[in-house]
Amino acid sequence: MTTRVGKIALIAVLASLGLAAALSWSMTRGADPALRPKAVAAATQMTPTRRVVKTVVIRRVVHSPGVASSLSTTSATSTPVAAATPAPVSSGTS
Amino acid sequence: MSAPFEHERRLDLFGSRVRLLIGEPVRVGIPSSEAKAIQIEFFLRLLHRRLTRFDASSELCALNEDRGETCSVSPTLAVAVDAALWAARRSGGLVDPTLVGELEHAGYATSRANLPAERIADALATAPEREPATPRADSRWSGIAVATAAGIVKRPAGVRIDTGGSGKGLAADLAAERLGGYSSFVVDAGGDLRLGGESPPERLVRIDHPSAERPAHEFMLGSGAVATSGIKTRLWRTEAGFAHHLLDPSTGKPAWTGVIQATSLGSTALEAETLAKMAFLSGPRRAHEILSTRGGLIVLDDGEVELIGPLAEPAGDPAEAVAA
Repeated sequence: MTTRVGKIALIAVLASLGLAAALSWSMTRGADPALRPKAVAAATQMTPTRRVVKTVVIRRVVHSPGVASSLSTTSATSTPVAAATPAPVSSGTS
Repeated sequence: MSAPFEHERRLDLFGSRVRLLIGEPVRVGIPSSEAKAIQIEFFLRLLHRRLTRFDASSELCALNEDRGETCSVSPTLAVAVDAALWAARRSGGLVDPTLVGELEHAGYATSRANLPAERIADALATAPEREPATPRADSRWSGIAVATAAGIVKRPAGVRIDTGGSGKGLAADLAAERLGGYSSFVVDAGGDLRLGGESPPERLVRIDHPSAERPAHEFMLGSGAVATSGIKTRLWRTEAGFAHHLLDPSTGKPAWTGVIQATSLGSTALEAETLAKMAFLSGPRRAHEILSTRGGLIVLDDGEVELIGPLAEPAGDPAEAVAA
């Protein structure tokens, strides 16, 4: 019995070490997800609870692009915009 | 041509604000514009995490801490270093990615996002005599080499790299590459814009004025890139006087050239950002030469706006200049 428990514990420890090593390798030397659109696409299929950053989603139909332009929060904000003319954009000092 | 629907997403990133506008998918089997916007946000956050100079755990900081001459890097960092070198070559060394120590000495060792900027008028009143910036005599940047396919960066020992000068433009371009198949899109990476799409509508592009409560200029553009460089949002006070982040490579100090903001159009955001920085650093006279082909504008110390190239022509079409 003790031997069996020991084996299970050993396997668990080895599995944890392996996972940690794989993650470390992936972060430092592995393929770069930032340049792999499919990987990015797959990653963004995650459920909201697995997303790294909290996202505030605001749904509203905006008929005036000016109203949409005034929206701004510190977290990401999504807004479907239906407009008669394309929303204006601005370029300021970077 | 109308834009019946665009999905808008806003986030704070790169020390500034990012805005995505994505029209309807026009190809079968690609994500909805909302899902695509989330993907692009994820991509941009990954990019930022690797390339920020202000997080010791970023890959860029790890590269700069590495004392060896050759370093293995991710494809993302390799591409970013390659873009920074492209900007240095294109500008003859004016947009220099090796000024990390000089930036830190000028007071830009940590992010200035969300910090209030000093008033431009106060800074100009005490700034040194205006003169064009010039490249470093030793072209330190030219000692850097990158093999993007192999993911290897080689540079002289001790030379640190800052991808911030070209990073937002590159981010906008890489995001734009991922937006094929949508009727229209805008990637606004802190004022570095990429516009395009399968059938992009002409839209109003407004150039902010750095010292007045009105736009410096407005024009219509469907596809292409626009970028602006200036001192409005990153201007601070030091014991030695006022400082900002656009340095004269030859002195390592903030450049006071008589131009407080420059805007350029381009075929890519990286090109537009590089041209805008060149125009800012070169001063009013040379800025006209730099911006004459793509088009752009400069704002002088006194707030006067000078339109250049296609933007200055009454019948000029910015889209044609960008596509040339």
